[in-house]
Amino acid sequence: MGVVYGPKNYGLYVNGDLEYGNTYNFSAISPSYAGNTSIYSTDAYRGNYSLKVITLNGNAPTFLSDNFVEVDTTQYYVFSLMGRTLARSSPNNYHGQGYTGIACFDQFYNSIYIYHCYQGNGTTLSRALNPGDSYAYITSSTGWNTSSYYYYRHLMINPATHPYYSTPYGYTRIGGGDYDIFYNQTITYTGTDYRLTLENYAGTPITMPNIGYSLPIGTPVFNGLDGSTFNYNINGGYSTFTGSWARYTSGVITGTSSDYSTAFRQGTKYIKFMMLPNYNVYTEATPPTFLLDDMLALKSPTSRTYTLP
Amino acid sequence: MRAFKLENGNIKVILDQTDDPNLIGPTFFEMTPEEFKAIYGDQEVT
Repeated sequence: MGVVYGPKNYGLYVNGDLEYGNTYNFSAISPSYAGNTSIYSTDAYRGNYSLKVITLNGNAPTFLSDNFVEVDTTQYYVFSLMGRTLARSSPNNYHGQGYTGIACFDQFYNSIYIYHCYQGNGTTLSRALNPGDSYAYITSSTGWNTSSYYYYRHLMINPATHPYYSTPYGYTRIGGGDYDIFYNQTITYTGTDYRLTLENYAGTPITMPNIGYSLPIGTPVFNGLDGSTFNYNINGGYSTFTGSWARYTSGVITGTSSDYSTAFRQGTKYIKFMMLPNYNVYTEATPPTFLLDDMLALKSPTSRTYTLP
Repeated sequence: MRAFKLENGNIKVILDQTDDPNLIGPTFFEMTPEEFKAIYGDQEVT
């Protein structure tokens, strides 16, 4: 048997079918208010219960499962859910909807953002980088972002002696997370290498912090580009729920990369179910209400598709 | 750009393709009011 079946019925999300008869594992929308998720017994896709989701107008909520699911990124996963609109919005009569997918976390339960993932612009330090330095020097600036948006200009570093972040162009929090290090959009060619001016997100010059690990010539570095807080991988990222139950499913997710439609993020050890409910209709006076059921994380040792009930 | 005041006093900023077409999907930042002002000036926070 290839598929790993989880608690209650199937799948790795505990209570993903809501048949516990309560909101266990699906209780929290942030910012929260009373009743934003509740158990619903009048209609369910399968079994006796579904999850009723109400969003508070204008607060751009984030909905994550309460529990982490440990994943093995060498295996093959498919994520799926059932949804339907219970009550359309007012005044514009929109269906319930939202971005759906997963949130990725590392072995220490830190959120992994896309700037932690290598995106093909790796190079090396051309000079040693020491605490107190105002500049970092790199061998090549090919592909390094020079836009005015600070969130595209993380300087990510893989110290060779770091116990967790030493893999060249692998997951690291040196440059974003443990230490936030940005570079100025003006990259200066010195005649032999490229000079980055270190700064914070607001463009104020900073000096290199003491990260506790030496950074000699040849240390791998890459340009971390932000751009997507979560992996919006179900139904191409965004789903609109009609008045009838329908299934929304991801492609096969395996390995690690910055491509959220096919892979987990580098460094992923755990995931959570993720949704941004009613993201595009947040200005409605009365946002739509919708139901979810059969929230599934399916794991297989081989790439496969599913015919889900 | 959407900006919301959080219970801890910080500001949650959400950007998406309507703000920057190069973004892949909605992108969240949490920052202090001072940091927000340094980046976004007097833009509205709800």
